[in-house]
Amino acid sequence: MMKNPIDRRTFLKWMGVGGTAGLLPACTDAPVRHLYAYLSPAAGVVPGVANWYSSTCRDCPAGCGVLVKTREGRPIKLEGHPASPINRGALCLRGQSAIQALYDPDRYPDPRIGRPGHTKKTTPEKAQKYVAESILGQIKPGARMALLTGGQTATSRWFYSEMAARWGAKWIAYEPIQFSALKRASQNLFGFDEVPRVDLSKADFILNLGADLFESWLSPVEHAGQLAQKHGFAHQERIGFVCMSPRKDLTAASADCWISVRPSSFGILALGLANQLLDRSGLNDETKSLLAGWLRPFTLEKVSLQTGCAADILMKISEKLIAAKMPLVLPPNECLLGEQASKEQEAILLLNYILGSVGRSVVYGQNTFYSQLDPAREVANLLQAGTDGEISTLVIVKRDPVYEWPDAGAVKKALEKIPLVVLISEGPNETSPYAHVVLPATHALEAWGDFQTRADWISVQQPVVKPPARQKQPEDWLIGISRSMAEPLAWMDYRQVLAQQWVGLQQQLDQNQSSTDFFKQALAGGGLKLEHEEHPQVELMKAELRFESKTTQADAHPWLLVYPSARLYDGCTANRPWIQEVPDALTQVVWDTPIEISSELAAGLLFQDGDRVKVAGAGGNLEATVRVMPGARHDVVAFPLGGGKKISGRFASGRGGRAWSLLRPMLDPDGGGLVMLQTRISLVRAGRGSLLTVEGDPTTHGRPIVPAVDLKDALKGRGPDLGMPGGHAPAPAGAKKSAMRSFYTTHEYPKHKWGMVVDLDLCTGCSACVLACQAENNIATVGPKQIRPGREMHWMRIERYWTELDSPMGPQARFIPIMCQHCDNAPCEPVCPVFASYHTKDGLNAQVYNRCIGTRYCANNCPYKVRRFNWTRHRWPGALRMQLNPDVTVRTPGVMEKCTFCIQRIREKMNLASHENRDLKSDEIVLACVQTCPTGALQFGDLNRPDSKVSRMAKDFRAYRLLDDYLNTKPAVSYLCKVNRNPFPLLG
Amino acid sequence: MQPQSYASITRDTLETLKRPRRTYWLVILILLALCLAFFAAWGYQIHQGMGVTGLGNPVGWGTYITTMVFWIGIAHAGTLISAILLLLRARWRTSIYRISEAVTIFALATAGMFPLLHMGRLWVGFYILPYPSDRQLWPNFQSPLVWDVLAISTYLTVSLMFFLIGLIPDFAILRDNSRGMKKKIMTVLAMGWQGTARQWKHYSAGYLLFAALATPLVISVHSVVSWDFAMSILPGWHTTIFAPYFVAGAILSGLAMVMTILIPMRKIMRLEHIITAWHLGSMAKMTILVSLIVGYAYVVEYFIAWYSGNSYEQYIFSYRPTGEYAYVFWIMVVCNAVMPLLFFIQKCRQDLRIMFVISILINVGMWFERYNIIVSTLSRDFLPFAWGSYRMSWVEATILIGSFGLFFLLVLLFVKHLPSIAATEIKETLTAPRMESNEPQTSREIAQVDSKEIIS
Amino acid sequence: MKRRIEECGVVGSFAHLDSFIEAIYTIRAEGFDQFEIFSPVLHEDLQAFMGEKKSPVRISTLVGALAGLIGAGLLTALSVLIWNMVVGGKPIVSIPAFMVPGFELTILFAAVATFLAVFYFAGLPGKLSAGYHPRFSNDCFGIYVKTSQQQQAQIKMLLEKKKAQSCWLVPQEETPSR
Repeated sequence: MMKNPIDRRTFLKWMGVGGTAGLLPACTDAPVRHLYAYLSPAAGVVPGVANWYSSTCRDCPAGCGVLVKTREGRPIKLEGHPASPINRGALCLRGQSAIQALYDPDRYPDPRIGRPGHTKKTTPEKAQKYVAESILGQIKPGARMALLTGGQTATSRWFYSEMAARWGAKWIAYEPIQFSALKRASQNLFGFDEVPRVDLSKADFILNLGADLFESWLSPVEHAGQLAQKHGFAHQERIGFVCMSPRKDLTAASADCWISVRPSSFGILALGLANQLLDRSGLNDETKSLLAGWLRPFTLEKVSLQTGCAADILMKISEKLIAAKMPLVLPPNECLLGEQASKEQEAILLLNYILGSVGRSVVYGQNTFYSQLDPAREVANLLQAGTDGEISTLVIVKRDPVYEWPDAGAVKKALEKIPLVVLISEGPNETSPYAHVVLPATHALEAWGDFQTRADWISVQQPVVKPPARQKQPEDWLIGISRSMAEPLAWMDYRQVLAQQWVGLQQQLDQNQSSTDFFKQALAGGGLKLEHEEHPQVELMKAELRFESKTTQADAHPWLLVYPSARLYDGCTANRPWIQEVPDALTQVVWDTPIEISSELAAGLLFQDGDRVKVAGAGGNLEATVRVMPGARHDVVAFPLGGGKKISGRFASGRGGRAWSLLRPMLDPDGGGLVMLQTRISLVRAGRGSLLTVEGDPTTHGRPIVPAVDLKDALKGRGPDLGMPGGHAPAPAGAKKSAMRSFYTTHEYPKHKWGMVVDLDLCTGCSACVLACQAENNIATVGPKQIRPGREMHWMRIERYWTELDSPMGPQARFIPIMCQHCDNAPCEPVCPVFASYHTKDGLNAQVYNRCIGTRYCANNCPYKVRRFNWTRHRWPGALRMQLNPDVTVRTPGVMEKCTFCIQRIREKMNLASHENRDLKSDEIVLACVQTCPTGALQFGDLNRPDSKVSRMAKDFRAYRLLDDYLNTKPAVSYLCKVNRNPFPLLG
Repeated sequence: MQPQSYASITRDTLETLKRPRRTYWLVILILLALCLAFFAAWGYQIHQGMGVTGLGNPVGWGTYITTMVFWIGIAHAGTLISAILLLLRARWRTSIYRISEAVTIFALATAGMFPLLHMGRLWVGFYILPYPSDRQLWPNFQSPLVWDVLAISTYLTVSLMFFLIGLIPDFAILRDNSRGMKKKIMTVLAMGWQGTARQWKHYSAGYLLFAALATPLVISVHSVVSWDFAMSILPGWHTTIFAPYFVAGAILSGLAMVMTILIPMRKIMRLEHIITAWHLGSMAKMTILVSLIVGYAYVVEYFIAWYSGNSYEQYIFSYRPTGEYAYVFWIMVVCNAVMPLLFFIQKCRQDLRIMFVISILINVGMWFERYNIIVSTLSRDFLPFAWGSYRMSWVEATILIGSFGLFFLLVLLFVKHLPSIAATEIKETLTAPRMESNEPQTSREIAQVDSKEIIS
Repeated sequence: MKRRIEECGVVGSFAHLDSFIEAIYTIRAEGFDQFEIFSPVLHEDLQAFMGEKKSPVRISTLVGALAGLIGAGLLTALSVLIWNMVVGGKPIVSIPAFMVPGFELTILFAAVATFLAVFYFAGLPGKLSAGYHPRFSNDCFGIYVKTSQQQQAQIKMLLEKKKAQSCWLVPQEETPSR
């Protein structure tokens, strides 16, 4: 959803910056570590005033546009780019944390060459020369060069293929998380060898077969936004959204309902539904009859038998699909697929085809990022070739095969056989010890580039700061190397490549503009809008799927379900303290990757939370901490990727277990992708460990903390029931009652009264806000040791409660973001002996750090437990301190701190307004958490202004204030309760 | 035992101040070591930050506040015995009130350390005092913590003055019966007291007034301490019975501590004929009463929680006896509400060994009572998701034990260097020497003799 | 009691209260009213010689108490008005809360006043009287009759008649027998 539409001012701002940004890397020669607030500011830098650069987030294939906030030439925060059609101003928690990768204290400062594992530091020139010579020297018959990179799009794609061609190198663009089966299925069914773009905004009923929309699937932020718009009660359509999958993930938690199905039964499921819907579909009769020929056997009874999902539920779902005008079935994240991966995807695509959503909400011809990846088979071949000594040189660009390939042993063996392994990487990773040459790579925020994952948009990536040391962006290393091989190149560096490409682009699009302006404009706008060509017509090219529907024989051992978590994704974010310390939304575990076991299974095996267990899979075994998950399937055990690194930096190393090591490199014969749902595992208790969690008690004890209303009541305008158990009568809702019950005259808020509204029906628990808050407010990370006594410092937390424990639909996870409620009758204030905590005239609950003497009474007396005490002196090792926001105090040991409603942002806008002597625009102030929320669940504004969003929403019938009925604290934060939509009342 | 006379009392008093045995100095050394540990641990904490404690979110108060309340409680017996019983004209107080007053002062001194100990930024702790600063920053007089500061410092000052006033005539005795350095010191301390009619007149007036002032004070102090909790909004803290409940608890613990000290002391210092089993017996009886009040408070807390129909209250009170800190709860109940009832049995009142054991148990129980109140409530308040638990760290343990070292060090130094039995007042309780007959003459004398006969 | 250089008198030391009191009465009867009495304890029989007037210590206590109360009132009420910061939505000047400091300071000031008053009126700290003897703090009652040298003999005789344990002149010419 559009947060703040880009007005002229902001556009000009970015544009101007776009111009200077080009110069910036050139003009600041001092290493970034020595950038202070200047005495005489450099060009385009006003001390105390932030510069905003637009760029692209490269932490996952979604390619969200970002605005980089820099102060005194130093990037301090990322925010989503409002102009980007992908994320529309929002950003996920990984994107928020990207800034910490920029300041990662473990980054390589210099190139290193030498014996693998014993490389010595050297100069860039020497390194390039060395590589060049060895490449030239080692060209031997049969042996060839190989290039292993991550996914590349737009210019970089052209560039790598160019380089590969020059060197006669085999280029493999590989990502461990990809959709090769879906790609293959599209090829088989429709003849498009690509991964479609899925557009939720063009659907009115969504059946989600295991797509983790908010975590890693295709484009999380985009989908979260789209779904919110269609599904959220606050918005008009309120479409149905049903999840069927073996694992109850974040997405399932915010669906109308989650229907658990057996692992690797999506295909059958899809075919069963297809069979049901076939007759009602708008296909022409001969296709129908063709399909009918082989679809008939997939009766609901049969399907229900194999999927473990009741026939009448399937019936109801098919009815819903029929009833819907624009139904959409989401294909799963492929970590949920078994050896029939592509077949299952085919089945799902077929179902979509029958529903008519292919070409409407499942669109091809988009050249999405995933379409441009090579499947795992290529890597397997590469390794084979390496082991057979057919590879002379392997250049690895920002990838970590030793870590992210299931069979690490095979990779090591191959690498040892390859005479020259060049690793271009930002910091050390598991592959480093096997590289002869390590070249330090820049972070995305220090590099040029462009990125395209949809037909109508190319986003641009520009450096916002000079690399701290001898880092170069990988493309520049390659150019450097080939130049030292004395090859004639048209360009000195990658920036010129980019320029050249964009000149081409400009030639196509509009000649009447100078190419520099054209590029600047693209930079300023965060990217370039391309005129949208029509979706290609899609025909079914294959009428029959040969689908072996084998019933999984009963087996005591559960399936292992390895998944990319919202925090760690494929592990690329593991060396960021913020990421390690932000609790996983569902497990609420920090600094660890726990193995998620259903309560049922745990009870059977006598496991408890925090037990250490030996996990043995097909590929190998590891030890992990148990996390018991209510409502999970007993025949599935989930384990997140991204743990178990050994030498990839101080924060990642030794945290959690390496899920890959449980798998073996098993390939989908058709799609050639890795089969990730491939092994059952055995679990043996290894002893008592400790679960690093911030969770106290996950049940509400019947307290009105996360009340919900049923849809039918909500439609009647009935609010939540705030009654307490034990006969304590609920008070009539709202502020009137509070005033009535108040012992004192209420205080006046002459001008402003800041307030917040959180729509729990929109909150997905994705935790982006938590990290945005952390980035904005210099909130320290405390490390694993401090978690046990409860010393985490987050000003904002997402509480996850398990409710409706006895409902037939299984326990429901309810999320509630809790920050300081800025109560009018704040319990924390009167108990402070020194007035360190008091109430401001505009309704903020202020905390005066240098007045605080640290009695901690305020924290004790805070019913929301949002106050955080500085127990120790916090550290920002290495360059991490460069990220600190100069507008916010860094708190000393012994003082209390808490959410301030980003007071620095409030004051900034107020000053701006008074400077331009005007009143604040309503909703002009945007807090860090509000800004980043992908679903727009958070709203902030002036409760004194009738025209502000918050004052309207606070009057909503769903609005309630936490504990206010009992404590009469009069919080400034209102929550709009969740709406329970159980589409199957008979069963639910 | 031989009849007591003015002279014999003086002799006994001087006896207690004879040069101590070697074991005494040995004990002093051990206690000094404990004090050292206390301050070392504190220094470490100041250097490292509060992180060295077991505290965290949500349990922001733990051992330190518990121990502070504990020591303040101990202090109360002193004032009770010296002031309240003086007003009530309870004869048995005289021979023990001096030591109990000393306990009051030393306990308060120890307690006074703990607010400082638990402060996050000790170095700016003075912000809490009402001192004029150029920016006119004053403390928040609505905060129970500021009340605390005022109450405790007032209490300390008043008890100290009360203590000194009581000591002056005894200083005079020491002055007149010692020589050398000691005489010089005592001459200064006695400040020229010579027991003239005029001095006695103002002295007695002032002494009574002090008792009258100290009595409401002692009640207020522990009420204020209880309000540290009652003024909050937390379930299990926010309740109206806390003030009387805490005062009773304080007196119970105080009595227990005085017993714990007296029983060995009278033996070691051979004061059996001055601090008789009768005195201790009366204390035991007093203990029964107070213990019953405390037990009653325990029950009433539960009644309130049930009757309020308030699920938050009900939860915390069901959690205490069953939850993570159940052992604390049961120690508290058994030691404070059950064990003291043994004093109903006369044998327990007479057998000093039993009395001693029970007194120790009460001390333990009272510490756990405060721990139970503070920790259990903090670890389980309104939002279950934010619940947490607390475990004492080694630093806190060291400081807790060290505080006992500090307290007993002061007590031991006192009993050997100052008159720990109030010679003058004990003389007053004797029949004044007469020529004709030593029959009691005045009403007061008659009264006291009667009471003696009744007891023995 | 300042002590003149040429001050002289007689001291009588008594082991028994009754004879002591008898002695005092006789001394009075003989018309000597310049005397001090010393007692190791406060005995009600001696109250007769303490003068009718009640001790002014009580007044000073009251004054102290009032000072404390008013002081506390001013301190609490005025100090919050300087910044008038709202805490917990309560009134700036919240009387109920301020009662506690009020009470404590009342007691404190009253106590201090009493303390000082006792010292002042009891003439502490001061010098020991010429007639004082260490046993007067131990087990003997003493009377010190200030008189002229001529009458010393007479008074001494008088006291000894009244069974004074021992008797001596001030300034001393002999040590009293013990």
